[in-house]
Amino acid sequence: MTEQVVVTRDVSKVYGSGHAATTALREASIHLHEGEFMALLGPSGSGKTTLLSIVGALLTPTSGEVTVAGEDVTRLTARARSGFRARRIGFVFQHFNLVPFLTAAENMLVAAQFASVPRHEAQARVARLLDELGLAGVRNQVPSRLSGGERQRVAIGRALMNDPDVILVDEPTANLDTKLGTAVVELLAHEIRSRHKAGIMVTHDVRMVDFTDRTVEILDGTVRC
Amino acid sequence: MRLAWKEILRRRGRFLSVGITLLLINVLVLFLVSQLAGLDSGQTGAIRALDADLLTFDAGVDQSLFRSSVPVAAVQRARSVSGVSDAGAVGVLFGTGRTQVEVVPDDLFDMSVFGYEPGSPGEPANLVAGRLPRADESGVGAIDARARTDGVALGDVVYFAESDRPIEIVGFVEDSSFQLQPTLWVGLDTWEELLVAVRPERVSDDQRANLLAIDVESGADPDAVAQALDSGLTHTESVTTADAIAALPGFSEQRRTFLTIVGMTYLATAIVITLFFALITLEKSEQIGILKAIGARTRDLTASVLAQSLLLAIPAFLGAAALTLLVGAALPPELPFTVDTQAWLTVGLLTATVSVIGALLSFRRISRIDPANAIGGAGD
Ligand SMILES: Nc1ncnc2c1ncn2[C@@H]1O[C@H](COP(=O)(O)OP(=O)(O)OP(=O)(O)O)[C@@H](O)[C@H]1O
Ligand SMILES: [Mg+2]
Repeated sequence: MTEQVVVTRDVSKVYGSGHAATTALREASIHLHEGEFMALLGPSGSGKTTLLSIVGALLTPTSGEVTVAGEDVTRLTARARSGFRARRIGFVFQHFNLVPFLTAAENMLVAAQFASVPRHEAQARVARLLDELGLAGVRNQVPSRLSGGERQRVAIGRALMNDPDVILVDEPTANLDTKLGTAVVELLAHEIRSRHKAGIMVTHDVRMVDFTDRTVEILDGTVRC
Repeated sequence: MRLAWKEILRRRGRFLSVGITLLLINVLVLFLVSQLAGLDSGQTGAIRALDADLLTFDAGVDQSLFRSSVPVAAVQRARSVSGVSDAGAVGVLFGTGRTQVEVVPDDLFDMSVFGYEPGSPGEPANLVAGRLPRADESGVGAIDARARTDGVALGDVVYFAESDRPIEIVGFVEDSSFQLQPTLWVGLDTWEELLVAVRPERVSDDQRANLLAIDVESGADPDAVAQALDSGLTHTESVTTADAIAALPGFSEQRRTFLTIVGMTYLATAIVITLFFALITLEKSEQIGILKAIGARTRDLTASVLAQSLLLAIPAFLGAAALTLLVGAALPPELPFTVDTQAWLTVGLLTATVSVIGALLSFRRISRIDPANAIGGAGD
């Protein structure tokens, strides 16, 4: 019996108020256990990013319960949320979003800094991750000198840096060609399973679903399993 | 902090340009401050060299050294005023000096003559070479070291204005110039001889000098002693030496002008720093959002900007200090330039403060960046 790492119950999110109010999520309930990699599918504007942001403690839901790695995320103060994200969540964004003036290795190290990981330990982890992700040769290159695939692998390394419980990925292949995209998702799936993380990947690309264990679809803010 | 330093290293171009701007502003300010200090000390040296706690002027002359006239006999009465430890008369003459008895235009230099009673307050401090005139001597004087640049050496003879009374130079006194001109320090009797020769209209029946230099007993309140002096003597106005300096014509105005320029320069510095950090914060807002999303707190990011501002300000100030010292050393001696360590430290502190404030102003901008924007949205 594996533990539930992510549980959302009847989570709703309304942006704005009055005339401008948009309901992005309607009573969404999902759950995810250790080592499980889930695909989140749905058309544009259906609420995928919103749900991912709520699980990742970037957004607070309007109503509903969210438990991630045993923590009631909705009750965390703003400051505690920063620490929670640093230690419990690994993000991989659509646009790679690396710090442009830091090398591959430093981009990974920076994450450890926010989680107060001792420097020598962080260095050791970076070295291991660079090897595993096939980035050892480009460790001292800045993002502008890396290929798209390498950049996304650095982003995956950064997400794994602090040994988080949950990996959240928003359209990781949008900026990559099919071949590279497939390789990146394959790598992600491998890392998530072998490290017993829980992973959620938002994607438009149905082909990527093959690498995941389960697919959840959202339509107009409503989750259909 | 590592992030802050890495950014400076890897974005050398932009940080260097702001750093150099800061450095040049600091050179300007340090130069101004040193010129002001040079002007100040060049104008007030003689007054400070009197080494008196209080100066007693004629009442109603706005503490003008030249218009003030005090009977020398008042020295005795001043000594008996309670709180006064000693007093001496000081006479002042302002004109030209020369080293040859014939008047040769090339040989003339501006010079003032301060007459004092040897051994009493008013005797100049800061003797750097030779000796001071003794009470029983006449026709000898010590001169401000500035006169060396006018070609005066120990043992030389100088003449004052139209007088052909030779005064032998027996000593050099430092930091004793008046209105940026060297001062010749002579005994009061010699000063009177010169007065009779060049300003006969100022000679009166009773022996008169221009002011009294007063030493106050240790522990006595100078202001109270000044009051006691003015009620014990007739028609006098006693002030502290600092007040007398502030009352010198143009002195306070000059300070105000310089300090206004310095203030304006700092305003400009504050604007430069604030705009710079506002600009790079704006430019980096997406990146800041990402860093926040992966766990950076506003506090970490603000601290990083603060560190950067100090990493800019401190080297800029130190570089400027070195550069200003070099420029100062290369200046011709007649340009007023004095390194006032305290003023320089204040400049350094102000630079750091202004930079920190400028950087802190980006706090609001940083704190308003929503980490939720980092995810997904950017491309759509
Ligand atoms: N900050 C916001 N303020 C107001 N409305 C928002 C905000 N963010 C998202 N929305 C709205 O909420 C709905 C869901 O948005 P969300 O970004 O979660 O969709 P998505 O499924 O990720 O879409 P895409 O595939 O285009 O990324 C949309 O209608 C969107 O316009
Ligand atoms: Mg989205």
